[in-house]
Amino acid sequence: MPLTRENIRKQCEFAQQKTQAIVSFVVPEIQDKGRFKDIRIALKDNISLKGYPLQAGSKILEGYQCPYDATIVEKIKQEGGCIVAKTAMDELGMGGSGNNDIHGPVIHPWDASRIPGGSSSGCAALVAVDGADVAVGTDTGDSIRKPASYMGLVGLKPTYGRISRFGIVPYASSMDTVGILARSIEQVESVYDVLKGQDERDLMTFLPKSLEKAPQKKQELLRLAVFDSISEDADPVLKARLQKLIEQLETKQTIKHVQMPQSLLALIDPVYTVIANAEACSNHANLDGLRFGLSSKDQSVENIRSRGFSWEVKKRFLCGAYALHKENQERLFIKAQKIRRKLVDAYASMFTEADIVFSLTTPDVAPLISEYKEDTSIGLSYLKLSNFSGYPSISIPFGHKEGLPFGLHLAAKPCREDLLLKAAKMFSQVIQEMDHV
Amino acid sequence: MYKVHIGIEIHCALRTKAKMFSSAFVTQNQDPNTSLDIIDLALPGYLPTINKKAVEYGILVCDALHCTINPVLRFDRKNYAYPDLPKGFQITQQFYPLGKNGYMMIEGQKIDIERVHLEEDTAKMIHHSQSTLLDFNRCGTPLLEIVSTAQIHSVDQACTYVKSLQQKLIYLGVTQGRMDKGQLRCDVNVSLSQNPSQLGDKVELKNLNSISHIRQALDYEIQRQSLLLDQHKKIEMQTRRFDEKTKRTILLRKKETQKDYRYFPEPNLPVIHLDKSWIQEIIARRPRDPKEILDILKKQGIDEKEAQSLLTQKDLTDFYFAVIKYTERNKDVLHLLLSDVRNQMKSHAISLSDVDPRRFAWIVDQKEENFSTNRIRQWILAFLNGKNVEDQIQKAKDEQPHVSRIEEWIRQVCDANQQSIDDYRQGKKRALSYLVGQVLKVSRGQADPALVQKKLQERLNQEKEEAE
Amino acid sequence: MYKEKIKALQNEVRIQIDDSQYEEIENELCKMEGIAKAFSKVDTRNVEPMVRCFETEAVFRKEDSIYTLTKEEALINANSTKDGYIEVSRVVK
Repeated sequence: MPLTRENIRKQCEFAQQKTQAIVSFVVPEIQDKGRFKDIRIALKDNISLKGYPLQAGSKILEGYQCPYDATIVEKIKQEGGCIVAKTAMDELGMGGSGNNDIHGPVIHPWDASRIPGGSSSGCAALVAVDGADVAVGTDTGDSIRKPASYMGLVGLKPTYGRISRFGIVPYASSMDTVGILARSIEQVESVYDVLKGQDERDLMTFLPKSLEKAPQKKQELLRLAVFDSISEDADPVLKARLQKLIEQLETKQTIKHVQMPQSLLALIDPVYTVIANAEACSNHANLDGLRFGLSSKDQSVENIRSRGFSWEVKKRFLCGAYALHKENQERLFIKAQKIRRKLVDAYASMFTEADIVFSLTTPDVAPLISEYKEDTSIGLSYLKLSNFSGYPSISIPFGHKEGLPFGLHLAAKPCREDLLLKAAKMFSQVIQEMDHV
Repeated sequence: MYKVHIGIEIHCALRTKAKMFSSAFVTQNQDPNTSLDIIDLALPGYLPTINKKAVEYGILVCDALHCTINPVLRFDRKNYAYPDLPKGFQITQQFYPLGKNGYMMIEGQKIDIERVHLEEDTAKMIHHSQSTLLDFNRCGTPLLEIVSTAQIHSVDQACTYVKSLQQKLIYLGVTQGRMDKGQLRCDVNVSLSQNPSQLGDKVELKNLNSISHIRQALDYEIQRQSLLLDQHKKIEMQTRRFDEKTKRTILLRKKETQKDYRYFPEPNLPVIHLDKSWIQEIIARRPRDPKEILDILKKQGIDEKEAQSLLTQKDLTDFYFAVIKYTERNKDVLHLLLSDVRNQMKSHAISLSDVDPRRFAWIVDQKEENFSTNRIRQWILAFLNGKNVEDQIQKAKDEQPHVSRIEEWIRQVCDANQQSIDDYRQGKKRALSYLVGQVLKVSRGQADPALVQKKLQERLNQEKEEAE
Repeated sequence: MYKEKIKALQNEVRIQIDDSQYEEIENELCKMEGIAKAFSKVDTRNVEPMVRCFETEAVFRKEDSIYTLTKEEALINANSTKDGYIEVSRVVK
């Protein structure tokens, strides 16, 4: 379908009916040159697009209009990308259900009784129903990979710092990573190639030279390892498929099996809770209605903030502040940071003899809304290891259970997106072969 | 009766072009909210960056204060809520300050400096009865915080400390150091004790905009605390501000509990390992400090008092050295600077950066042509006010009769006024004035009176010698 | 037990909580203490806290790298402005 404003609008409206994924329709700028020409791009609503509202799923940003573009938006525009929409998300990225108090929940396109996953829920849903070709979102714990798995998409979370965060509402600064969702690996890759790179406005994009100058010699055979520890409690259908995949791979090469002790894995969620809430609470201290956002005359800041944040978010802020108190910091925040390092060291050791570590992205398909709780099963919480470590990872479509998709998760060493994407394509091939046998 | 313990915390605004963690200009006296980067309003999506010049200035100060410089640069968040702090936290250096364990010598005593660190300034607030107006221009300006330990034991010493530190900072070129403009801010804490080794509870004094305010505030506060202690009353930890009208300190707030700022490392700024050779290079290029300049001036034969007077104004000192590159008449230059130039700068708001030192020197050198000091002064003043004096000087030169002409007129007058010469020889000073007047008459005012007097005296004294 | 702490937290974070919500917050803080307890059992001797994913190579901002918002851009989102200032309710020191 040719790219015209009319067509784009129709596609977006259609997608919106199905998914409620869009919070702002963007007037498309259709350009005739650049690497992104003819690509419809959706942006998670925590990304600054000049002249458009930004709410990041929170009432506290009601009325806020961006006076500047995020770095990635500048890059998209430079390459002729056609931005079509700002998409719904869990409030300030803090949540994984795709629900939101101000916009209402994003609807899973194939089963409205299930959660789409979050927090990049709108991104994933819009791409899933072809309202956009590609979506740019963020992943702090699992927020790109989880919805990618639940909606049968490719979701890439690159190395931390690979893509500039300038102009993007933070959640937990030490873990926030800009990522990409699309229906094909090639699409994800082409967008990634443009968006990645150093940005003087985000100092964390200047990655250690020792990592960036990774050996570029051609590596024909990727060394693969499967992450056993986390699929123990997975749904039997998914488990079976994983087993089948392993067998298929083993016809061509040896697959290592890697583990991390359960006692350590059980610490992932508490460590995440402490660090993410503490950083988020501090990051969002700027949201007070004084210079922008929700406000009304003569209302105190306490009043505005109490109205502006959901109960869930308020709880997290209070816990986050608690973890940073002088009398608690050593045993909560700093201890969490130490355990983070332990977790990362253990995670990194799995890569000493493997280039790619793979596993099920989620232990099951999208859960029913009625049964959903912020899950603490290791099968889901392990995804946060990518954020603790900064290692790049990707979720690719793996299979279906009763018509609902689920994904396969691949991870690589820092700055080795080259191997990661190569592996993703290879695995996709193997998965296809599996289904034709 | 009571021992006084004074500790001083100074915030120095650095004169960098850009802000500390923001890419906007550092500015004063500009339309409100016209020099803001995204971070200065803490708009969603902001991120900090680091100003290299500010770090350089920090290093210069640490070195000048004999601090141990930490070559690993780390920044932390100080979390608290106030409308002048848009992010809801200030980026500072809590855990690893740039410099620590330094000192300054004040009249032979060593005052320890606990720490020197980099941080950022807050916005300006203007309070009205029903509302507060916010101007974020100042927000993000680089600040250097310099903290001394409570070893100062007298008001005089406190004032000398601040004055010396101010001068040092100005001469390092890191700040303009104007207390009245808020470029140098001073918080003082003071406590009294009977037991000399035991510190009493501290009272913090804020809003001290000048050295005299510091003096007055301390004088009042020490008296206030003494009275309380005399009555065996407890001094509560508190913050007080100085009221310049009544010259008293007034309670701002009590410090019941220490505020918890929830300090933690700033995740968006990497740890920076400063290159040791870069640090050394900065230190090697440091400007001369006032003491070194004083020594140089004394070697040039300048009187200490005059030298100190010059040193009170860095722009004047800089100008002095710029001018004497082009002339050897350094004493003449100095006198001009300390009198007319200084006065003109004040009354006419002249900036020496607009004055060409080479031309200034040339004018001073016209003394060679026997022009009087007075005339040179007039030309300097005109020059400072932007007038073209070259033409005037050339005209004066053309009109100035040659020395031989003057001597000729003198000879003429002497020949015709033997009586006056005799009177002079007999000690009648007025005779000389009479003769000078006659020469001026004969020359029709073309001769310079001072020169005529000089030449006449020479001639008369010479004749006297010959006669003896 | 936590009432004082919760009040202090409310002030710091600048949000108001009803009395009806106190219990839930108390539970949350108990959970935090539970986490602290679990943490205390983990041996982290000689382990440095991990502040960032990577210790990146730093880049200083150059003196000439200046960026400013226009006055319009700066003020466009303020609820109330006056003569170029952002106006808020009277701040009590």
